[in-house]
Amino acid sequence: MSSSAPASTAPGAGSSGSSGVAAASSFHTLSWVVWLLFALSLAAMTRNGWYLTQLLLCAYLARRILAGNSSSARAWGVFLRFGIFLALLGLLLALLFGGNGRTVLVELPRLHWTITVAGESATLLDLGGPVTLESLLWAASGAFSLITVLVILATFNILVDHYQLVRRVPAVLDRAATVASIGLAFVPEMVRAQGELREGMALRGYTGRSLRDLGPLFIALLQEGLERSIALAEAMEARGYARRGASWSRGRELLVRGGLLAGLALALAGAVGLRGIGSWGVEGSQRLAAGVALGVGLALLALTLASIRRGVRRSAYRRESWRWQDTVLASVSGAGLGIAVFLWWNQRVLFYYTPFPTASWPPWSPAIALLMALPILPALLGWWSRREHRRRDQLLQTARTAARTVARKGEQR
Amino acid sequence: MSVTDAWTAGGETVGGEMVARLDRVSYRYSPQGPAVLKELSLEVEAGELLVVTGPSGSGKSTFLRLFNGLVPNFHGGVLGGRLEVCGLDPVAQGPSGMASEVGFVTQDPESQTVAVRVEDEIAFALENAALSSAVMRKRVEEGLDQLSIADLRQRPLEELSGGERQRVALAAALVLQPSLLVLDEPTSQLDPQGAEEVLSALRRLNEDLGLTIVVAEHRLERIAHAADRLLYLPASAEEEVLLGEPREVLAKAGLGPPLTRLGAALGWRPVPLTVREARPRRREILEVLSLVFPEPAGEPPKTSSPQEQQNPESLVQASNLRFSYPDGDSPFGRRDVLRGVDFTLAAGERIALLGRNGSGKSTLLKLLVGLLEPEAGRLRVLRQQPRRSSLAKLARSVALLPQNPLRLLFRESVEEELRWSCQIHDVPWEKAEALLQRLGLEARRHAHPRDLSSGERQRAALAALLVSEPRVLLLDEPTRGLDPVGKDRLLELLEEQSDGGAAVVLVTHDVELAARFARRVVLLAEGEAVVDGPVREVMTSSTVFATQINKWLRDPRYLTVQDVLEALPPQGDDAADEESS
Amino acid sequence: MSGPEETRDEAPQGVVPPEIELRDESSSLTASPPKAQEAVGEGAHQRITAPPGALLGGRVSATVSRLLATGVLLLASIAGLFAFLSPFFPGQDPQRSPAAAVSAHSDDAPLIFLVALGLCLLVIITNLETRRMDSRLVAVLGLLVGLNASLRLITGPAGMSAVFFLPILAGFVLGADFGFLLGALSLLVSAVLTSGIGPWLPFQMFAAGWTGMIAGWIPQFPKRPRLELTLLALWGAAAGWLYGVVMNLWFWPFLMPPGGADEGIHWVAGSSWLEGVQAYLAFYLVTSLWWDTGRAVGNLVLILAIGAPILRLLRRFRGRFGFWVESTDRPDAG
Repeated sequence: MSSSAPASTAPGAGSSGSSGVAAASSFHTLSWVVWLLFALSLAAMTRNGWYLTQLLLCAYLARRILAGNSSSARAWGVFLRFGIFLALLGLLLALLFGGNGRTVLVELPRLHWTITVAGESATLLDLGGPVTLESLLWAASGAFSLITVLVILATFNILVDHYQLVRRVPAVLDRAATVASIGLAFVPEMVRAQGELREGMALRGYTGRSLRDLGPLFIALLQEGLERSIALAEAMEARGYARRGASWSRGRELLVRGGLLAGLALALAGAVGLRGIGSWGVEGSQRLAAGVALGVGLALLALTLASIRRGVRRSAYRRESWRWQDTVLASVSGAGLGIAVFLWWNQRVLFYYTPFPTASWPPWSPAIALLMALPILPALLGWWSRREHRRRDQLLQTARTAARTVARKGEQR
Repeated sequence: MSVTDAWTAGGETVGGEMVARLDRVSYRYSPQGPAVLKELSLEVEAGELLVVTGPSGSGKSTFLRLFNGLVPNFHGGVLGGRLEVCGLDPVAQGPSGMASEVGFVTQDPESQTVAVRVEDEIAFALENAALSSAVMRKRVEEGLDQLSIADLRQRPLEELSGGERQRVALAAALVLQPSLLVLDEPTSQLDPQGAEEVLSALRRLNEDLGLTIVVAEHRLERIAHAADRLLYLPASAEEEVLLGEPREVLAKAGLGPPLTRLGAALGWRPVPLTVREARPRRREILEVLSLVFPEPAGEPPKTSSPQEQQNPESLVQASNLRFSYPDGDSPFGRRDVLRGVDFTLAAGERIALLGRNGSGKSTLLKLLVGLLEPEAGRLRVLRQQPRRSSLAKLARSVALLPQNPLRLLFRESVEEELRWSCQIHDVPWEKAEALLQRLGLEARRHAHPRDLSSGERQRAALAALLVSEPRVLLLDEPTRGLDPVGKDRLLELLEEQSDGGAAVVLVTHDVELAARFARRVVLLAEGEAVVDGPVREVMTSSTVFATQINKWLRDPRYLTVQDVLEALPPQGDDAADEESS
Repeated sequence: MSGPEETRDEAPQGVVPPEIELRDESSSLTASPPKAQEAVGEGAHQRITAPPGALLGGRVSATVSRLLATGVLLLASIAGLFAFLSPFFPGQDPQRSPAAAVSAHSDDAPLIFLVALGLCLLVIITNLETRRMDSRLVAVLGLLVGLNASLRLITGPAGMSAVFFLPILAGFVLGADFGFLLGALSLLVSAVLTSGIGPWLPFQMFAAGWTGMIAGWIPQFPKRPRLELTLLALWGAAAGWLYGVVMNLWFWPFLMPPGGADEGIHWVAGSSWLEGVQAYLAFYLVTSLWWDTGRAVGNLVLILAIGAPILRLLRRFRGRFGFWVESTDRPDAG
């Protein structure tokens, strides 16, 4: 819905504010994805209420300015409500479990359940006890972070063209993208077929409503799907899908699969070793080895994927225009993402907020706040281009009135 | 446009004139199976429009799939003989190897979709050929222009009409600039308007661009006169295959539009295809006819049936029916489909319900069974008010056959379908057994409904409905996709039902069918019943809803070939023969 | 691995031998020539399993290749599972600074898990790319994905949903990797369709994928359809609960209560692990269990009630069409 109407074709004549909005919202799908990654990683990195508020505001403004009153805007409400529900759950959990912190608010009755097996006793459940302000704050900050993540995704869902998203996947996933595209194309047909089949059952005079009656319906649907898949495969081959040159030799298949497997094994071993599980983990020079294993594994995966990609003998038809606004949005978001990851890796403290041991306000640093304000860019660009549209409309309007007056004067003469 | 150049260039590779050559080609689906094609030899010339016809099951689809190697590469089977298409061997190349030489379009536009939007659908073949974006852009634009669907480029395919979708499929088949276009009954799932769109696009491609086209088609009246040659494949591979000038083949096979069949029956050579071609014969035949029936206002050959005069029982009374569907685009959020329809139906009546697309025909039928409930107006069916809740009860006496008979078939064999019906309606099995015999389904009783031919499917669905002996039989475009034989069988069956006292309502676009079957015609337009009257009156007063014979003779007594042949004196045949020779 | 390819290669270019015989399966499922299905349906896929002219070495390498594919699926699943469960076992922190070890949340940002999950999914889905091009596989998968996504739009009471039904049965008949792809991609498609792309999506895709994958590992007893159906129904019920267990994990790192005994600052390794699991279990019992029970019962009943004819249909289809060549050498109903 947003990808159509390239800005250049937007007719100046009679375009009201709303058409300007439609044009402004059409950022390139890729720039949206970069923005999403940036905003999402920021939201997931911190529990600091100040920064999260900033991010929420950015997402809200982007939706407000770019989505207008589109019908899909209601996805926002769904995401938000879900987030709030989860936040309440989190608070409930904190009440039940969070016995830490120094500021005790209430003391709940304690529920302790241990089990003794072969002389060893183990705690199965430990609920209740003191409820502290700190644990509530902790839960609230986590919930806030979660809500922010959800709101950012909701904004993305409203503003991005999902179908373009499917068509945008890298060539490595070419077949999966074709599968998804076929699936998307057939969902409406299948929904229609479902309705018609239900009608058909009624027309046969069938009144049953039990679960078993889903059988005939489901079988008919599946059968239709399978039959159509053969007709579709035929049509696809007739249009050159599965060209002969594109098929793999057995050796290549072995190589590629082996590469994937080896890369995966190395990367997994390295990651597990580096991260450790509980108290177990590798130390010292072994750490280096684990790091190397992770690196080599990832490199091997990347190499194999690149080789698969080269094997894909298809091109992609994409007709989305990339404008200077996209360059700005993508490069700023990309750079921001890089900075954020770098800081998080080296200066994690900057993002921290913890109410423990005694409740406190979250810290605020101008540099991080600036970083957290960058996701406002789409809203800003949208607002700017909308203003430009308005100005152009006004100019056109004035020009037209002027022309009309001149013409009228000419007539009078 | 560069497309034309490419196509002429494509012609060179074929070495002048020949695009495809079949040399004694035989085909069986399995080593033990019966022959589908037997020793078929044929050459397709460049720039030719070759129309393939024949009853269903005659191997048309198989024949068409030879050109791009789908048979045998995709479907398997045993192939004999030699094949050469565009200088290539389709068997060795395989369908995808032939894709840039042979464009292929199948009958169901919905089963060819790989993308959500029109543009991407058209670009699919280009993507498969791994062309560069610049070339793809250009080819997609050309494809959109060639089939005049540029305004649809960003639309989701599911919103398009059947005709539009099929034109998109055509564009998608043409983007690789093939030298041969093969189409398997491209209009069989379409309404007349959509069919006309597709067929005129085909004629244009053939005439303006010189594209070679091989198309299988039942609706010969719209394409036969543009065809260079006609190939008739008989029901069995043992019979003779007819190939040649369309009129000759049609005359021999007894197919084609009514005038052609009349011409063939009267021994005219060449047989006429259109009213214009038959024009010179009009005087002559009118003279013969007026000798037999001197008074033009005389009694029509077929009068209303005795039942109508006996004031039969009224089954349906409807007055001022209104209905609308929700619609986001309309200012009131609803789109009116029926705006005050009056309609009655009595036992034994045969009604044809005509009208454009979206005039509310199907909606009216759904109201009559209770699938939908009217928003206003009075409706009584068998003295009851049809309701969604009591639908299953009413379905016993009011049967509706939807456009797609598969929507009624749920079981694993024909026999089980009937058993299910017996069980639902509490009817003894003997009745179902008798129906199986009467509908000629006995041999196919253990077949899966989805493995039946389209005519058999329809009869199976009808059988499932007829088990409960309904008093009202409603059919929604039952002849779509049926071959002439299938149509005849269906009409026989319906006449039998009607003679047995059931009221039959036929929704159709096919005027010839309406003239053959119906006694009364109701014409819906814009949600109102504009015309309601005896078939002969309605057809003579209208030019749009008149049969070909009627357009030619303009006499209410003669609507169908049968009418004319019955009216001619017994020796008339010979007289006509002599005259023409 | 596929018969027709080889046969075609052997046919000399341009010249067709007077009678060449290609696959003799029927095309009866197409709308086109509706005849002789019964006669051909039987011997259909025998020819496919042994491609004409295949060397013994070809067969060995085919087996190795299949094993490799299974290995990739398995290992990527394990990696995914590791990422799923990591909120429960904190890793050792290299910096060991008090500030850096404030909490599990700051230790492993949920984002890293999401990235890891995405990578695993990518690898599994790429597995589709490494097999030979087969338009039938793509078409069938696409259609079933569409069908399954359309079923997801209709949800029954409680957590009941028909969305697991098809991946379980199709995974069982058509193989573990088909099951995984069907489950994972149908959730992707339905998310795209309903604008429901959220942090839960990779979890959903994995969970639904595993549902289909594990169904593919259930042994087949073609002679004892009741046993098969019972096994599948049991797995369906288990999958209903497990899906819920897995799905709650996506937000768990956000809501996980701070554990630890000493001043609530550190997660003490060992004890916190148990505490995390305890908290999760309690959370699961209180909130998610009822919903998931609906789903489990729904799966169980649905498979028992209508699974048999669907299994027959899928087998008939596979036998006739033989498109899933890699799994044809599994024991089969024939």
